[in-house]
Amino acid sequence: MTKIARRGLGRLGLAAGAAATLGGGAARAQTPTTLKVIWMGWPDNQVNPLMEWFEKRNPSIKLAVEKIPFNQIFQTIEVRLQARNADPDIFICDSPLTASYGARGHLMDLTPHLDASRFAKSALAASTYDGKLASAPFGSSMQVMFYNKALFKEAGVAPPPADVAQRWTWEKTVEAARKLTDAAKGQWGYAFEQSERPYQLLPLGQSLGGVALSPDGFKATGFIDSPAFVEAYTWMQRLYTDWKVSPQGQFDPNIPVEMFGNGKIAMLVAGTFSVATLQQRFPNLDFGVAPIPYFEKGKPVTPTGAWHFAINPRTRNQAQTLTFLNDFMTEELHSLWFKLRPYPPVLKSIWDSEKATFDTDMWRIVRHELDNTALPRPATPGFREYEDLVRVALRDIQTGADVKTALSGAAQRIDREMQKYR
Amino acid sequence: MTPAPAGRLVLGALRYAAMVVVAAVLLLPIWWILVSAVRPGSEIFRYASDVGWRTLVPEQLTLEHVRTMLGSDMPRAVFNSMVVSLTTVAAGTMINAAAGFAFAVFAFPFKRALFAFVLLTFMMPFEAIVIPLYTLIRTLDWTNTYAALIVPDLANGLVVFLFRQFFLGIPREIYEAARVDGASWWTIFLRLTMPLSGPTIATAALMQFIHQWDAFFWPLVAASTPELIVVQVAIARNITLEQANWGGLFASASTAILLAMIPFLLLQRYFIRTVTASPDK
Repeated sequence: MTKIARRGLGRLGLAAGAAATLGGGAARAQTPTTLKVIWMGWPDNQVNPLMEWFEKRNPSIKLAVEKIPFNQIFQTIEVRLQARNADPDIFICDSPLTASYGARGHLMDLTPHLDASRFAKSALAASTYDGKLASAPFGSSMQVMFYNKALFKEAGVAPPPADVAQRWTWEKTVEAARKLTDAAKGQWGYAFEQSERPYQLLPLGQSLGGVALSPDGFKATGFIDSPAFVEAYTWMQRLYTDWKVSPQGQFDPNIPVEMFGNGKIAMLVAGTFSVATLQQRFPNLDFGVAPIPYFEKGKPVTPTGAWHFAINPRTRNQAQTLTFLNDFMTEELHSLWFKLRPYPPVLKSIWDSEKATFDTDMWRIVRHELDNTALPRPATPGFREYEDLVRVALRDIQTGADVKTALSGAAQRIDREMQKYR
Repeated sequence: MTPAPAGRLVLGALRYAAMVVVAAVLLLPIWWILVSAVRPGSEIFRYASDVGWRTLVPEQLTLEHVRTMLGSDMPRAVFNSMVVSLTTVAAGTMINAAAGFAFAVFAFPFKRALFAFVLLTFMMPFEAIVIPLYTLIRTLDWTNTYAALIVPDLANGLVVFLFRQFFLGIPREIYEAARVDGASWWTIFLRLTMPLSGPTIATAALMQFIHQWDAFFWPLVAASTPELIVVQVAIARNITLEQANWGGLFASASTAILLAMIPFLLLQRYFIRTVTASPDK
């Protein structure tokens, strides 16, 4: 330890000496303010260009960016915020957690600093807590159904159309999936990318008219265990246990995408981002896209919500964090971000400035869904607990648990957890 | 009744067959990780759902993932984890052995209560103390330093317990004889008991090494700058919710497994001896 500190001192000494030798110009320059930023652990080449762009524009501000892997990002942010000090200045925020952070005083009110009219409706809804803009929308999300053209041809099944007006029903999807499943070849007809996550699976119950949580955000009993969700998840369970068209136990969202790329899954409902993975990793794969199906007696509902960022109200560098906010809300930066990582944009103007990019089946579907069928996850201060408990129930249901019992058990536990936020 | 020679042979064969099956079940997933590090990215999951010989034997070999890994932050992470693990082992062994010695040999007020407290520390879930620990480290201005990674893990209740149990087994007469000969307690501790504790030191060292080598959550909380990245964090950075670099993940996980095996292979003889030895031997 002492050794390291000494080495650090030595380096400081060298730097000071060099500055003095160079005529003192560097020494006279103002020390830049460093902002501590916690960001998602996306690959460096998708994060660094954004940060470099900002630092170039603002030579007096340095960014100390910590890129935290997805598996531990929420727990890490939790510990840092609960210490209730000025660290970090800025942090990435999963949109449904906005209410949770807001209720505990971890978010600066951004209402005076953001022009709400520039954002897509769904992004705005996800960033609002207690009537204020509490997190800054940074990228939205949407899912579509990918299908393997060769497997459809081989099975003699007509593929699902890309036209949202001719969207398949879940009933029709299962019918096709049964024809496309070949147990001997380890080939499955259909799979969910996130087969245990409320993000992807709440829309099943919502498609049948279910409401995932009470409007005040504190009660799950009578909502997540209502007849609509019981019916939807009974259907989902049959994919694994009865029709056997979906691979059981693939809870890591990256694995179904790999299996689809390898021709082991014929239809996969997955995030738009998977398109880049599929194109880069499986250049010979011939796949098409279609909108997410819906239940015959229900209506189409799709998932949305994504990454926002927020400002710690205890920051000692308020002026600099607001500069960050303003710069990270410019069209120029969002355009760069979209090119690095193509999440559906939250700034309405990007849809017009990148018109050529969006002229594909997938983006046409995405735009339609965001405007018409997308439903964000429930806004509640207890979202983390809600998500964790629903995930456990969904895992159990997939592996054969009684649907009503699993959902009611989860609902009761959620209600108990919510008490502390009332 | 002793079985006939033929019967004994069959029994022996069956026993070996059962052991081979158990060993295969335990080792094949690790083998799969190792071969996945040297097979092309698009091939990793091709035979994962219909398990057969091609799942375990790659059709093509490539060093692409290893090369990418060497250009990533993994080498830096290995260096940092080595510094952290070895420093913890060196300093931690001395501190915990000294504490164990004190609990075994000296009589002092509240000894039982204090020892119960030591036992409590290793039964406490880390999540329960992480927020106050982080606040403490921040107050000391240690965030993003090696100290933040090393110091909280130096004292280890389980290792103190292990040393105490071992020292209790040494007859008191030996200490008394040394005292009569004029040896100080430090001399007794360093020159008499420590040289006798080889297997316990080996066990303690391995436990502390693996604990630090596997550290993931605390380094993210207390020292997450790129300069202080540790092995488990570098491995996890290959995977996000929407995207996975499987080749990079398996190459870095294989490296971490192989490096962590070295101290085990070196010290396994002692390790087994301590685990099987009873304290009053």
